[in-house]
Amino acid sequence: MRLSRPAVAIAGVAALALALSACASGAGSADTSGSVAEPVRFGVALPQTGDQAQYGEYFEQGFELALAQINDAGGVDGRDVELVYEDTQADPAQAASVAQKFVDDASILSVLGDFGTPATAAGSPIYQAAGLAQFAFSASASTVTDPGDYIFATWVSQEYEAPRLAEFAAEQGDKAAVFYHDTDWGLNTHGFFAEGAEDAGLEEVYATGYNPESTDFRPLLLAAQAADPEVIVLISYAADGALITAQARELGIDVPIVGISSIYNQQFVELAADAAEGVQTLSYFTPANPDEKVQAFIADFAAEYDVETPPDYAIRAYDALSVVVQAAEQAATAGELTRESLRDALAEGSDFDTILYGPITFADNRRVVDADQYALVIRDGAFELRD
Amino acid sequence: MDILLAGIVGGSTYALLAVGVSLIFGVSNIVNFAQGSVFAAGGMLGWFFAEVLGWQLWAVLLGVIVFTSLLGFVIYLIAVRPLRAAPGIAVLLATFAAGIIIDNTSQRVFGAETRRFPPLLERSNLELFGFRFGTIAIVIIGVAVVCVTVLAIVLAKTRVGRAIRATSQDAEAAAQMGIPVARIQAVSFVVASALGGVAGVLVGMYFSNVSPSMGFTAGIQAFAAATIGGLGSLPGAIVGGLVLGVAEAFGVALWGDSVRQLITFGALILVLWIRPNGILGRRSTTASEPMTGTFFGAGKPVRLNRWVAVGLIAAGALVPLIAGDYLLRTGALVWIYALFALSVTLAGGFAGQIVLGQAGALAIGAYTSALLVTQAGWDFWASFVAAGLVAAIFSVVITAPTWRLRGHYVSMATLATGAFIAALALNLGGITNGARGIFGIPRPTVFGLSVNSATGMYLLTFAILVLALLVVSGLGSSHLGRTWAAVREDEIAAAASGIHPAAYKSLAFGLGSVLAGFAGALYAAQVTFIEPSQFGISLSVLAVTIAILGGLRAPMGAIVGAVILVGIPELFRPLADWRLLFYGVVLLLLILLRPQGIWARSDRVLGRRRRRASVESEVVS
Repeated sequence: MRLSRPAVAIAGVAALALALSACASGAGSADTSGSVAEPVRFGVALPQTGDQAQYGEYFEQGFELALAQINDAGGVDGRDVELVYEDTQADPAQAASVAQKFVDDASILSVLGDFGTPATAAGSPIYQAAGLAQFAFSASASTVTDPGDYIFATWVSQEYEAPRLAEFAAEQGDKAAVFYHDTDWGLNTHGFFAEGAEDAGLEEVYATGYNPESTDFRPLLLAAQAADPEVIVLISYAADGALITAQARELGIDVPIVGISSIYNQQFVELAADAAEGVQTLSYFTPANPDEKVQAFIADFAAEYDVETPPDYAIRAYDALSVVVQAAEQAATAGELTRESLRDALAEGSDFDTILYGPITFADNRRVVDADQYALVIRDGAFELRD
Repeated sequence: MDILLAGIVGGSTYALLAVGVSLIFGVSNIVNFAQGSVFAAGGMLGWFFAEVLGWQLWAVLLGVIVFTSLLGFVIYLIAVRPLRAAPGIAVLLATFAAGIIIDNTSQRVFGAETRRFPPLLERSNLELFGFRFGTIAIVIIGVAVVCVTVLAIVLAKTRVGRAIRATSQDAEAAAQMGIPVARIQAVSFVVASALGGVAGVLVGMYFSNVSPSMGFTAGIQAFAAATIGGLGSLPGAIVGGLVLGVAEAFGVALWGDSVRQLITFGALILVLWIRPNGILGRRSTTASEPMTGTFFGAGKPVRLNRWVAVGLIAAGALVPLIAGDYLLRTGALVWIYALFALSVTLAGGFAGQIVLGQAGALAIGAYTSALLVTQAGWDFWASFVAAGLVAAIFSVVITAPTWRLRGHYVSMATLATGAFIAALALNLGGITNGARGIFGIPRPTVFGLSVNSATGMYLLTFAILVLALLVVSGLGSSHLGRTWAAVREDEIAAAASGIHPAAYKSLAFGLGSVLAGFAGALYAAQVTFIEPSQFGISLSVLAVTIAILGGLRAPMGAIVGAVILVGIPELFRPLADWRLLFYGVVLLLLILLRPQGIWARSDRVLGRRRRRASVESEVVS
């Protein structure tokens, strides 16, 4: 028999698919055979590929560290904890399919993720309708928990954080040039920042949104420079914030720079190098926090991944899993651990331990309302407590 | 003045990349979508040499040049050479797939993180009119000018140069004159990729950081710059890069960063309208260009028996009986993408125009429906109809001046239009809510009931798709369909018989946009959250890929293509981090093996087999 090329191709693809599904099911059965009781399983929706993959990498660092520690300590109710990762590329269209996949898998008790508001929001109606709790630990929009009582969010509302940043910036000067992400998060934050700035007596002489993926900020910085600001405010992530900082210093703009908590990442220092010196931020996290748990976490993280300070996103992921596991433990103690009892435990429980915020309790809108922040400054390539 | 300087330096980074794009287009008549990925790979490799291995600048550049030259040769060998006889669009998609593979390999090798590029040259030691810049900026401009000068001398004075010019003027005639056209094309890929790699290192140094995913946007900017300057013209690439850079710098300084895309694609559209061959481009001497009708003869659509068709529809409708909700949720997405790709089939398969900007029409449909339902309180079905109409009207008006263009230029103009619409959605915050997006879009309703379940969405999208499929098939075999076929197969002959080709192309495109608008309304209801960045160029390319891979001439092809292209990434879920890489590989393989589409019989292959059979019979006798 002579096969035509298309037939060979189709056969090849089919064989590959078979092999893949065999791998998948093989891996699944290998994991379950180890422990006596069925493992407690949580889904994770995150970008493992595509343009946002670097955030997915941070997530996995946090999750894997938390998972290892939880299982070493005996898991939940004597059962091992297992994470099921699904790649969404942070694409809302795929996030909806992944949400349904988790909903269909009856062994999944809660889902953590996704990265950013769009992909998170695309999954929410499906989780809500199915009664599966979505733990949105990296979506900041003020509307994120609106789809219903199964959606929880840990990002502190910008309503509290942004005005504080305005006060913080006002300490440095009266006239501010503000750079914010032209995204849902950036626009919201800037809105609250502007209100706070008025109260703090800080004048916004220049404010501009920008695409986080842009690389050339010189035209914006030149326009900002023309407005003669006394302080530059970054409502940015670490990578793009570092780029703005570096390019500002290269252009000879040497006014103080303050950034919002999400620039807190060693990557900021690595990318901006010398330009990072003196940049200040308000952060929920500081390596200088004397709390025993925080110090232990920093040591463990450094031992596992060989970095001095854990990135903000890894901490958020670590906390997300540990909060859900604490709630699961409470639900299992009170009765049977189900999707519903886990949701109730999250809603009704109080003072869940976290690294980032300290103990947290969810408010009526299932969000973390507020938490203390530390004033940090970059000195000699490290974030230090500002005195 | 300082902004002008910032624009010139920024623009010269575009120019550096645009030279490569223009060179390959000039020689091979190919739009190389992988150029941006080569650039990013060069940047990452440069980072590795400089930061991790601690090499000097000259060694870094040398290493990157060697590597990216090889990469360019491999791209040519794998993605371009095997498709010599295939339609131009197949090559474009193959380079797109190659780009996905390169980006994701680099992401696996170097990690996804943004890295700091060590400052091997000064970045702020000079000052002019208050603008501080560094040696690196001078070097970037210098390298761009030197490259073009050297290339120009080579092209004008040497044997290879004359061969390249001959090939770019008329490849067939050149081949007949004994010029090794294939080798010349390979050379153009090697040179362009080496330039791309150098650009990666220099631009990485200038912006002080590099990341594996920086290639796509840079590639598109370079492509826009090359087209503005005149595709195929090397000085044009420099001029185009500088013009774009300066325009962006002023626009961004005045109105903010979000107008960047608006300016890039707005300028591209304007240039294509007013001076299609670019500022410095010459009118192409070859009469027939790829992507026009003549090349579509390669495959004939498979005809479906009526009963088989009914059976397939029934099977599709009965899937919910056996499938889980996850499969249905994915299935609904497949049908939405199939409907979306049908719009490409209408314009491309019927009227012979590859349109690369259908994400624009999809976006208009999605926004129209979402806004009418959430803001104006319309019923879903009223908004659904409005979505199709508004998408069609917008698309037809914006592309009206485009249809007198030919070949590649139509594809580029539509690509620019699609991207322009997404940029508009970002900038018209008052209407579209800008980057905040539209939240909580309700599911469709049928007889007052909300279609919330996976089964409901599946059946709804399937029913609409089947209806659209029947209408499109009907159109294909109607009088109108035959007129389109006439325009597609021979535009000049059609015009001579009194048919107005531009009007018929526009009609096919408009009807296609209606379908894309419908698909947009369904997309909004399926995803429930929309924001401008969802409707990027990748989505337009996906629609074309679905239509081409399925078989451009047959409406059924859009369905086959959608099942495969949405299905494969879902199938590859167990691969986690490697998923997108394997997707790229499979995409490339499919294009290589079935350039005429899956839902099509290949005349070419049949012919070869027949020839082989006759040779064998001769040997036997």
